[in-house]
Order: sequence, then C-alpha cells, then structure tokens
Amino acid sequence: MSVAEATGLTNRHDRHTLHVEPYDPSTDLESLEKLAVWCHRFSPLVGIDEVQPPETLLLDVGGVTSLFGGEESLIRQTRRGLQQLRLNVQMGLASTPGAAWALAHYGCGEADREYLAIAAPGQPQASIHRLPLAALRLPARMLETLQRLGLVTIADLLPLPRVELKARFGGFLLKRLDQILDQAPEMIVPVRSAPDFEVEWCFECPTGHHNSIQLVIEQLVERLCVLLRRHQRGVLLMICDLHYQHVPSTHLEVGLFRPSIDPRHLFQLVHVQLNNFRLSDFVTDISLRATSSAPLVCRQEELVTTRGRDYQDSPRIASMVERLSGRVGRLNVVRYVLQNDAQPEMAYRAEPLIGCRSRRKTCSTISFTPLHQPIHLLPEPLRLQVVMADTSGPPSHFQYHGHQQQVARHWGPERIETGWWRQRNVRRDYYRVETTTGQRLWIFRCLKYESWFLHGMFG
Amino acid sequence: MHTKVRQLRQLLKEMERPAADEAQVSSGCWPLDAILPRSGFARGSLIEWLVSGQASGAGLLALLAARQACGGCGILVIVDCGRLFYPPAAAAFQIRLDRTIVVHPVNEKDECWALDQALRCPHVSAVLAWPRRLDGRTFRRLQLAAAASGCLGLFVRPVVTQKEPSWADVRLLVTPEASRSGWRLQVKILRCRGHIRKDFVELEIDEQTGEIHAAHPCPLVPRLACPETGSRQTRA
Repeated sequence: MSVAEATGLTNRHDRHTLHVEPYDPSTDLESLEKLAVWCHRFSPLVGIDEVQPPETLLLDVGGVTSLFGGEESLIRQTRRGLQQLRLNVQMGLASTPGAAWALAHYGCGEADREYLAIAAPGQPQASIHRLPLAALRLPARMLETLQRLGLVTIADLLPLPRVELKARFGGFLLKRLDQILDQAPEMIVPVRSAPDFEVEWCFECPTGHHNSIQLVIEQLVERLCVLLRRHQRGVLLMICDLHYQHVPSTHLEVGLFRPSIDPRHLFQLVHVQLNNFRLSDFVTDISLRATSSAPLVCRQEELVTTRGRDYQDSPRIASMVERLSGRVGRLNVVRYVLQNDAQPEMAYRAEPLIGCRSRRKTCSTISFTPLHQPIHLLPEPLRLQVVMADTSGPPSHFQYHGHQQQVARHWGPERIETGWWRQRNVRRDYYRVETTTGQRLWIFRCLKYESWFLHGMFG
Repeated sequence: MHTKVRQLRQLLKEMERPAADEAQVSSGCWPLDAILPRSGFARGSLIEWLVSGQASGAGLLALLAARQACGGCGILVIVDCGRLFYPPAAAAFQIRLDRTIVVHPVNEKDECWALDQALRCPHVSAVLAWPRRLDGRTFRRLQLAAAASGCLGLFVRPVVTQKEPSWADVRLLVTPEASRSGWRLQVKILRCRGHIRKDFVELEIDEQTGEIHAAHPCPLVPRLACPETGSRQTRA
C-alpha cells in the first residue's frame, strides 16, 4: 500500500498525528521471531506459519493446557500477555495447525470480544466446514478459479471427487484440505531462542573499589568467552549489569562490529566505558550476558592485502569502530546512505555501524554538481534577521553571527516544494549567496511564512 | 617451484620497500601542490587549515585533500562534533560515502579521544575534523598517532587559534576574496616543513564543475626562463 493510500484511509483528525514508516518485510519477520521466542512461556514448540507474508505464530499446546488451568485459561493468559505488549491478536485453537490457522483468520467475529475461535471438542470438523476456501491457505490464483466455479466454503469442496480435484488443481489443494481435516500431518518448524550466555559474580561484601570491580569484570569476560567458545559463537552485544546495595542497578552496553570471543578485546571495550563510569553505590553483584551472538567465522589472513576490499573485513577498522562506539555511543558512529528525497535534511540516512543490519537495497538519488549544495548543513534552519530586503531575490543585508552581512552575488532561486505526503509540506526558494567578505552561504525563503533562513555553509 | 619462490620473494620485497609516491599525497588542487615543497602533503602528518568562518571554503579544500588521500578505496573518518557534515554535497565531490565513517562525539574530550583512535588506525587513510580547542600535549599526541599509522590528519580550525602552538606539518590560512567569476580563495602557508617556493596562492573554484585552478596563471616569461624549456630549445 502506498503512503498516500494509507493516509487516505485514516480519519482527517488523525492525519496530523499519523506516523509513517517504510515497509520492511525483514524487520517484520525479525519482530515475529522475537515474539515467537517470547511465546515459549506458553508452549515448548512455537513456529511461524509458512504463508507469505508471515503473520501467524503456531503454538503446539498439546499436553500443556493442564499446567495453565485448561484451554480457556491458557488462551486468556496468552492474550493478556500479548495485550501488555500492545498487540491485539486473533486466536484459534484446534487439533491441527491448519484448522487453528483457519479459525484464527476466519472463525473470529468482528467484535473485540470475539478474538478467539475454538473448534468444538466433540465434532471439530463441523466448525471447519462452514469456513470460506481462503481458510485453506491457497494461492490467490487458485482461490479465484475455485470461486469462479461457484465453490465458496470448504463444505462445497468436500463432495467433489478427489481424483478430479487433483487433476484440475494439483496436489496442493488436497494437501491443504487433508491438513485442515487432520488427515495429513503438518510440521511446525520451531523458532529456537538463542542460548543464554550469562555469567555472574556475587561479592561477599558490597564494594565500591574500582580496581576490584574491574578485576571481576575481566574474569567474567573470560568465563563468558569460554561459554561462547563451546557453542562456536561470538559476542555481538554484551551487557554488564552492576547491582547496587540500595539504588537500582545500572548497566554498561558493549556492541561489536563483528562477533568476537577475544577476552582481551572484549574487556578493553568494557574498560573504555568504565573509565568514564561513576558508581552510584556499593556493588553487591555483577552479571555479564551476551544478549546477541552470532556464529564465529574463521577466515585465513591474506598474505597480500587487497586494497579496495570491503572495509568491514578489516579487523583493525572493526576494532576501531567498536572502541569508538563503546565510548561515544553506538548511534554516534555511523555511515551515511543517500536517499531519493529533494528535501535537503531528508536526502540522507545515518546507519549505525554496530547493531544495524545493512540495507543493501539502494535507491536512485538526486544528483547535483559540486558547489550546488553546501558541505555543512545546519540541523535546524536558522532564522535570519533581514536588515535590507530585495524584492527580486535574497536580502541585500542581513545579520549573521552577530555581524551585518552584505550580499555581493547570488545564484538562484531553486524551488523545493515537497513533503506533502509527510503532512509537512515544504515550500522553499533556495539561494546561494556570496557576501562581500567572500563567505558562501545557503539561504532560503520559506514561502509559507515569508521569512528567511540560513540552512548551510559551503565549508 | 624455484620460480614461484622467486616471484613471492620479489613480491615481498616490493611490499616492504617504501614507495616514494605513496609517502606523499596531493592536496587535491594543483596550484597549491605547486607551492608546497613536496608537491603535496606527507602521509602520517597533520595539516591545519585556519579560517575566519564556516563558510570560507577551507572545509571544502580539506575535503578535497581527504579525497586524494583516500584515492577511491581508502577509509575516511570524519569526526563531526557539531553534526554539520552534509553527505550529499560530499558525494557530489566524489567522496565515497560507503567508505566514510562519521563519528559524532558529544564533547571536546571525546572528540580528542576519537581523533586519536582514528589517527592511530593504520587502515584509515585520512581523518577530517573541525576541532576548536587542542592543547599542545593533545596536539603532539595526535601528531605521533598519525606518524605511527601513516594516516593524514586534516583539521579545519578557527583563525583565532593561530597564536596557539601547533604540531601540524603544514599550516594554511584560507581567506575568501571578492571575485567576479568563480569562488576565489587565498591560501597562505603560515608554516611548512621544508623549503617553500612561494608563501601564498590564489585559487578559484569553478561554479559549474567544482574544479580548482589558479586565479592568476603563471606569466609566460618566467615559464620560458625555466631550465627545462631552455634545454628543449637547445635540443631543437
């Protein structure tokens, strides 16, 4: 759905508060996987349905309902938990994954109270038969053909000879039919949570001694690396929690560019943060956990280094980025990606080098000649105080940096009118101006408010 | 087998030999190269550009020098405390953003530390920054870091720091001048290791192409008087 189409669906009053984010299927899948891991508290086997786009979680609750006080209670607890995560869900409970999927999608009512559909225990197939054919998880083209033949519900399909159905629609239709009627098995591919890598140390007496704390963290890092080595995994994100005697605990976060189990290097990264860290109280215990890890990739060092290869392969660069991110913050060490947007402040995107999946997808960008736009752009345009206006172009005199500036030459205007789909319409006339002192500035007239702003400086 | 070993030995020798052309890098504009003693900047050194404002063109010249130092495949680290760097304009000057790492330190202490880390990394080709305050000890530390790694450090600083001690190999003062054609900048060499042929140059940046050329081209008579021209005439 395009942004304009989505905006059109919202109420007029909601449009000003509407938040728009680009659709990213991989992020959706990642969130669903995280939710699947969270659902392990209700079922030992949780998987994601294979239908594209993935939007359904399958939980095998066979044998566990008694632990939650019955089916109804399990459903209620699951829904309450999901609501706390601000998720509204539709749920279906049946003897097969296919039937549960069908009930969740087509068995629930429109009302909020009707979020759940449970197949009747005695005669489960009765509740399935009345469902539409879309409940069979069939491709759109096949559904269209079936509907053209006058088949609407699953019950319409059942009297038809299976041989002819197979000849006309292939084996997939029969497979789905058998799966929903519990006549063919269906596997749930489990989503497994990453193993917990956590080590901790409890002090006999609470301590505020910096050296002792450093020594303990160094030992904990070594123990964590031993744990990870057994699984052939390296740390990507490590959190060190310091628990205090009287005040709430604080934590140090260490992100890595590449997975690592080098205890010396990991401790150095923690040490960089410890140097600027002030203890809030006496520390009672310290825990260290690898919240994100990845399989270790061993690569033989090249004898002859190839210039121009991807810098992410360079261990020296990786090490530098990790140290910088550790000290100045992960979000402050970035690379820039250009965006296809005419609005200058929207023409690029910053991607943190650590903890951000690289989006390989590149889009065409607006190209311009050198000296067309400045190399310094103010985060927020600065309103200029016009001393002497000029009707045909930029002001001939204005105040900048506390001094009066006189415009000697100017180029423009360049009209930028964009952003209406973001509900922040931008209408600006940009000018490049050179002052009598030779300073080059990028100023614009906001056509909405009829005022002048400084937006950039040419180096 | 022996041939292979000989080839490998030769390759290692070539790698170990310091390449003369790799020890220095062009400033990105040939009129400035022409007055610098080594026809450019030495790798592993610090270059300081002094300016009277953020719109005086020094940042642009420093960016061009960084582009030359990276040579298309090197890594450029930009330490931008004020969050002013505008990537689309840099891309228009052929800066490869996929090989550029931008650091936004939150205070001056972190800025100096980030500069030290970036300059110390041997795989980084150039570091560009706008540090306002650098005490003598920190400056010296940064100079040693650059010398150890071979990285070129490019600092754009306000002109008020001119009286402060500097450990930069080359110190340049950039002053914009009024012009009727392109963007004219006067670059004066305040300090430079080695012999200086001339202490200032006037540059003009083309409005359309962004190319830099000398504002006052060399007159014909001195060019005829140079020894190369004379010997050619003798040969003729």
